[in-house]
Amino acid sequence: MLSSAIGTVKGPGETLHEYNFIAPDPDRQLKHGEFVYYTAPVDGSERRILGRITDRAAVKLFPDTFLADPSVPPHTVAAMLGYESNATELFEITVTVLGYYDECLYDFTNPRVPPQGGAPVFIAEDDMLTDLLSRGRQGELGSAYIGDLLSRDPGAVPVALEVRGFTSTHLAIIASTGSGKSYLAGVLLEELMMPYNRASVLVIDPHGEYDTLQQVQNMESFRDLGYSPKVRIFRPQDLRVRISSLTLPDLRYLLTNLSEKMHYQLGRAYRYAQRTWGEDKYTLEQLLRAVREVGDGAQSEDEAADDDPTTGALIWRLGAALGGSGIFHDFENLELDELFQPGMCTLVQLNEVEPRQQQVIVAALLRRVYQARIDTERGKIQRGERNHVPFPVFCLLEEAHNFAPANADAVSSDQLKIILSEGRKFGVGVGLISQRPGRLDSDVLSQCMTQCIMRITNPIDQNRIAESVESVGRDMLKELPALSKGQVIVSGASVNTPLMLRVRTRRTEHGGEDINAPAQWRHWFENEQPAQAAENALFAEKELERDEDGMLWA
Amino acid sequence: MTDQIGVIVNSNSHIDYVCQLHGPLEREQRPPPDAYAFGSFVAISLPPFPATFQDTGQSPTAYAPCLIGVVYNSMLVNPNFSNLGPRLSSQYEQTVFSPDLLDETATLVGVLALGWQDSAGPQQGTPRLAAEVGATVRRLTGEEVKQFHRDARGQLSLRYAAAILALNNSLVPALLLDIIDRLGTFFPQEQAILQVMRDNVAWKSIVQPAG
Ligand SMILES: Nc1ncnc2c1ncn2[C@@H]1O[C@H](COP(=O)(O)OP(=O)(O)OP(=O)(O)O)[C@@H](O)[C@H]1O
Ligand SMILES: [Mg+2]
Repeated sequence: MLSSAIGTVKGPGETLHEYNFIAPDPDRQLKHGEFVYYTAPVDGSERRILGRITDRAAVKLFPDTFLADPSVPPHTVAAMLGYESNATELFEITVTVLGYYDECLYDFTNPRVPPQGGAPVFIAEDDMLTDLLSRGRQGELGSAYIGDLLSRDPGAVPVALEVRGFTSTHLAIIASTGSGKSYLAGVLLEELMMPYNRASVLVIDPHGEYDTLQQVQNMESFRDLGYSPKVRIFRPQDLRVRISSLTLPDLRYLLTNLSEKMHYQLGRAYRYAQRTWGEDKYTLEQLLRAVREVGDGAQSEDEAADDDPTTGALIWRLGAALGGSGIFHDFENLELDELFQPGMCTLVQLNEVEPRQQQVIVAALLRRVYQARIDTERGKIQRGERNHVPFPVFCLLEEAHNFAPANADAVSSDQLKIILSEGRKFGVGVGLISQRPGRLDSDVLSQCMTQCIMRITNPIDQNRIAESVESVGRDMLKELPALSKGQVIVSGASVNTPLMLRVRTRRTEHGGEDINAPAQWRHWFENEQPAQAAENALFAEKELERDEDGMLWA
Repeated sequence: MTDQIGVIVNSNSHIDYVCQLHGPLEREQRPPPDAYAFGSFVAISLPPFPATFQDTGQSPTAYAPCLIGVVYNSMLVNPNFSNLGPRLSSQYEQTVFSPDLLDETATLVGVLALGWQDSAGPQQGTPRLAAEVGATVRRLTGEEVKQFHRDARGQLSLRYAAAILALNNSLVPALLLDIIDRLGTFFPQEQAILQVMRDNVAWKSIVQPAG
């Protein structure tokens, strides 16, 4: 059924895939980013050729001088002069053609049939858009319903990402601080935990703000015939990285500013330890011994070589970096089978962990799970072994610019790059969240094939987005500073065309709420201060008693 | 009729008429100067003229069909002007011996037709009918001018403004400003809308050309 036309084609636009149409648009329907179509014959049948509005210019405006007096509406002046029609506005609207949806190719095909001048243009119905725009379907296997089309009423056109798309070819969520990145990530995680997805997800949570996700375990809507999702939290004090699982680059990264000589000696000691006690089987004590063994001057095992300055310094540094922290441990490690399991979301909280240690922890985790996936896929590891991971995994990294910084080396950077380029073959997907795309390594950003971009005001960050994210058109990038909290532009592999969405409401609470300072200050006056005053009074009384005692004693 | 000021003697277009004012030797009195001043509204009678109209029993003046126009121009015609050669008779002798020669000095005014009046009342816009040579021209009363500027719904109307501005006549902006000023006193409650239009015309005709 055709709805009534909203405009009339004027002619082809500036580029091959554009056309212009003229519309009075009295109801202000034809917003930027809205979808319209015309019909054209393709291979013998009439198809609807969908397009997106990319520009809108008024072609008929009141003369400025009619607008001179704010208390006199310009149409009254026009009416006095004999123009009494309501049709006072007319717009020329530019449309970028997407094409008709080809059910075989699962994509839009541009028919290369430009609309005829004078042909009617229709606004695409909600149902049509629901069918065509998103790859997934709300509530179906392999779909993540993250929100509704922004140009339509809430709920009118739900958009579901194809989970397969972003878990294999990676995801980026980019926005200025406070625009709702963590909120959107929370929505995604909820969807991944739903009975129709049951994903195995690891979240690197440097601020410890995803706790509230635990609520999914008790919510009826997440359950289904014997399935209920699990959320496991590793708090900073629960984190363990076995010292022998660190690689030589990890060690070098942890011990900053090593001299050439120390580098060399550390390398020899590392290989010595691996040779002597076996890969992944030595303790800090043994590593230190290895340092002494390979150091200058040390000949027998008992003879301390600490008097050699290089050996001494290296031992002291290793002890300081690994011995003092509760995270690096001789035997314990975060085991992969505790971290990864379908239907489980694991939160690794890194708050209060020193930045370099965070990077090493993340690098080690990523490396291990990637290796485990390769080995499992190639049949090198069998069921029952700890590193057996017979299912794809998805890792979400908050503050990703800390793990893949633009102009600095970080151990985690290299590991991330490997996974971003090769991970899809072995079912390791990553999602990166960052508020500073300008500080995120540009290779890393351009390898994420699904992009969720929210409000960005900083021009440097906007440029970085324009450089690294090809799939978003220029016209959409112009919207970035104008987006509000909770509005997102999604593009890339998980949707059929770039879309502007309103992120749906979370089912669980959002953990990353801003602190309400004035409310807390007030709370202090109403609750804390009286308590403190009472305590002080008590204390003073005691003093007084003592004084009296003292007086008595004197 | 005392309000009569002259007769149509020529036209330059469908809406641009030339009216010759009654002179001293015609039966009517010469009209007072403010009756044909720049910006005065006038009615140009249309056939059927009142004489034939009377049969229908309608009052001849109420809905007598006419064009409604405004005086926008004036010209003096003086055949003596270029006759600066030696004279045979003095000016005084001339009035005595050949009085009809004096007749040839005349005052002409240009009238733009802005609308018409028929049995449905006054209307603004380009009239369908044209006036004839000899049609009488009379001055409109204040009440008639007011009536002419009200549309069917009783709203202030200035439909002819765009049409006359489009004539590209250098006298038109001044004419419009003059009309708007006068309408302001007739329609005090619509003063603000008129002011917007006045500013618009004034800006384009006064400020922009001088800039
Ligand atoms: N779709 C939404 N609906 C309702 N509220 C939202 C939505 N998105 C974000 N918010 C609110 O906006 C605030 C900031 O959101 P969020 O914590 O996700 O920002 P962020 O981009 O992660 O910021 P930061 O860079 O500081 O981590 C929160 O208080 C959250 O409740
Ligand atoms: Mg956040």
